[in-house]
Amino acid sequence: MDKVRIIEIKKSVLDDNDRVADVLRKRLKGENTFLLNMMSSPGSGKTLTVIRTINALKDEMRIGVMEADIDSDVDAVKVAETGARAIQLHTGGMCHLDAGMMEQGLNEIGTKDLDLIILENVGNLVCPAEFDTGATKSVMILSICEGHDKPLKYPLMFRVVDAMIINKIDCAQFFDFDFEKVQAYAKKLNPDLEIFPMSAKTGEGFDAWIDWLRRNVADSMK
Amino acid sequence: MHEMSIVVSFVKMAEDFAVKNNAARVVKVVLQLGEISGIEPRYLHEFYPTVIEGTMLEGSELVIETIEASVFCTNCATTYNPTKSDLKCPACESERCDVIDGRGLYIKEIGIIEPS
Repeated sequence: MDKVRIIEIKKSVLDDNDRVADVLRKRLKGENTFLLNMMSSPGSGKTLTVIRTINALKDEMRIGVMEADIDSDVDAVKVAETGARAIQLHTGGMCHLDAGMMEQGLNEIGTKDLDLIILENVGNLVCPAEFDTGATKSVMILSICEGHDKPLKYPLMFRVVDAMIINKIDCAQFFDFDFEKVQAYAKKLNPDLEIFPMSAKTGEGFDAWIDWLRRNVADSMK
Repeated sequence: MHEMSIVVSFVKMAEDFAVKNNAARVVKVVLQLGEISGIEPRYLHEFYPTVIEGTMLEGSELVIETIEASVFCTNCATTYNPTKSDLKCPACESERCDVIDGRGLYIKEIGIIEPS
């Protein structure tokens, strides 16, 4: 009978992703490019937020957008109309982007002549939170139609981000969304979280978000 | 379904180690999975046979051991074992905590057969 030899390995499986992500982060820092990872559930208003963000900042910085979806290029086409460089990444059925896919995407979009790259991650509150993409900062969008209990249900997402946008406040009168509760739940998970209630459609509250992003892009270039 | 990409990565790692150790094939892979990693062992088992098809791991056994979670409260300096989703400190109820263990996934060892 064949003899089985046991080889001790003791190596982290997830480190692989974290290591690639760290290399990406260093590379972007060296090129003075800020990568923002934007996450949320489907339909929370990511694409409209991206478009309004580009329009607010395009005279100050060179912006690129990476749209990640399982299929289609509807988002990339919409974003490209702003004049920003946009590419579409297909995850081929996968629920998130990992650092390996990000590396390919960053090589494709070309990072050297961009100041800000926005990654619009796959719409999902679960898996994208678990994979470091090499982003400089991360933001999540919660639209008020989704309910104020989401931080209780998807805690990791609220823990890993630097900022949270509460979107669609222009629809507040139609929903029983409790602004105080959602902020308390989220802050409990992440005491340093910055929170921006706004409407990507009407522009209400949008300036505070843009100020935060502008300040963070500037800080990363120091 | 991020378990699929996780299976692909650890199978690739196991293959690399097997090749480095001149294995003819791999018969067993032992993983250690953290309690609060958010990774479902059931799905790892489910995807494993498909991923190893046609590799030197084909037909091998997958064993998954659990690593107990351990969290340190930075507010009151207690170390505790949290429940699955709630990392809150049981002593002072603070959420300011550092996870010491239980979030990771490791390949502990592989069993190989050497060429005869």
